[in-house]
Amino acid sequence: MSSLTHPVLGQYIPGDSPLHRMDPRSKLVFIFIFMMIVFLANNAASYGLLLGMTVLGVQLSGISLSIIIRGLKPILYLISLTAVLHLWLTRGGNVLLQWGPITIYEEGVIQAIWISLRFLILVLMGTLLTLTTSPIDLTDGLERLLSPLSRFQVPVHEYALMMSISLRFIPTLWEEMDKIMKAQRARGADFTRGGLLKRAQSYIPVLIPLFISSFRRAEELALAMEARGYRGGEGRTRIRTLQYRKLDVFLLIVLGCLVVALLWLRSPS
Amino acid sequence: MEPIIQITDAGYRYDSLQEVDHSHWAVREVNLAVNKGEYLAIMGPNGSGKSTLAKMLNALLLPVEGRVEIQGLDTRQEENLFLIRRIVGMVFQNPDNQIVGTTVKDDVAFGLENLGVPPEEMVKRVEEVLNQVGLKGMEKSFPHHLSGGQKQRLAIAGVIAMRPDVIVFDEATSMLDPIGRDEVLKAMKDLHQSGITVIHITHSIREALHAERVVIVANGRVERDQPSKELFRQPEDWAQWSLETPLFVELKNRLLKRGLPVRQEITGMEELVEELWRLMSRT
Repeated sequence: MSSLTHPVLGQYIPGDSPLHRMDPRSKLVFIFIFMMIVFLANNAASYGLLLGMTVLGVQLSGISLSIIIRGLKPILYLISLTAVLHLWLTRGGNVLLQWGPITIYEEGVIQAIWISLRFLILVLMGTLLTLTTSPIDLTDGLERLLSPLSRFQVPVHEYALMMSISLRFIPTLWEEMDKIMKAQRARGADFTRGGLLKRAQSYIPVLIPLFISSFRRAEELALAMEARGYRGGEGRTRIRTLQYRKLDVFLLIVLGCLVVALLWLRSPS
Repeated sequence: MEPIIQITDAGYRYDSLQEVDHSHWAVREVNLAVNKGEYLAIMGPNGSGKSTLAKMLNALLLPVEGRVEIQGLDTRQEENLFLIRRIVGMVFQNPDNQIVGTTVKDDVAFGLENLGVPPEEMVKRVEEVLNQVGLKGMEKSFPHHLSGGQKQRLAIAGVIAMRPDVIVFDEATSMLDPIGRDEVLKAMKDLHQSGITVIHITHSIREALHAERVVIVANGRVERDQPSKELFRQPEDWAQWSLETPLFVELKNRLLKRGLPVRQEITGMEELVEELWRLMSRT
């Protein structure tokens, strides 16, 4: 239930910003390529450019910085851990600090900064995608992008339908779980006391009825789908139409420029 | 006129009960013809086989013996399936378990997408049917934000968008609160008036009374098949089918026992009240 009330990392926030209005396909393509070219950066200029892009993206999303930072908190631990490891383990350049068994080299500091930055940029960009694209649009965009694969017997439509049915049933199952927990509590169950193992065990009487009813739901849903003439992806039309707009073309041009600029700015290795 | 649904000597038994014992047939030797535009109730207690019978009407279950024909199309022939499901739509019991779409609009469109209707036409039809069931302006709502009655009306919208000739309501009111039930019953009535054949599967006599014709199913067999007005004219032993005696019948019988000259032909609560007024003003 907490996930429904508190913002989680990357949970969709409805809005009408330029990022919200873009086609999910172009956003997906952008993120996919962006995540690869992040690894091209290797000096201050190239990292600066990427960071600038990310800040611009955050600006354009119209989502307040505090929400984004709050969502990032759990990731910050991971970033600090990687930074410390790099500080400690990387050798090269001048020795900056020697303290007992720990030696910190110049190269280590630089690497730590770059790696943390790379991590931060990747996570932020990924978060921006899911913050500004509803799961339904995301599924839809993915289905269309991958639809050429169905020629190679990849069941793209089926996977996409499975995704969207899961999305449809998450709130329903939450409600049901809440109901079962209340019912078990009324029978004296306690979900809050005891150690980790004990608490995990106390969820068994919740999960079993939940599973059983999910199977029944699945069966009834399949029947209802069949009754409405469902027979797979073939010959199916869609009410959701996706359309590339000027904004999407612009985004892809930006992406192209970014690749060229990165190749030019990075120091040759 | 040729009936739109013709069931001939149809029987069905579930696989897990495959014994030769006849008592395990869920439906047995059913003969039933449904005419176009009829409002029919199929009534029976739990386990009577009425839901099995309902599922045979649009080929979700195929008869093990006998035949079910929809506009002359045999349900056992696979090439007919798609067409049959366009002719006979179905609304199920559990409102939650028949909604596929993530939003109201998506769900109404699901059947149309299966039919391959072009997107522009789809948008038009979705709007039209949402108006029809009174869910206008809720296109973008999520299914879990709807009430039970609204969910069932959404399911109805999804079915009528496909423009079927027949809609089967398989206990579509039994999980609803009284308000939701009235909403759905009203929708049924409207559909019937617009010319759609309505088949209402129910265990409630009160709901069956809305129909023009009532078929009583018990132990997998058709026990009665007559216009609802006639059904309540003759004295019936409702308990033999594990059905509750309708309140007005019970009341009428008790009044008769007390020696009040109430007419036997009364077919509804309102008529009974009227009759009592008449008797009172006479004395």
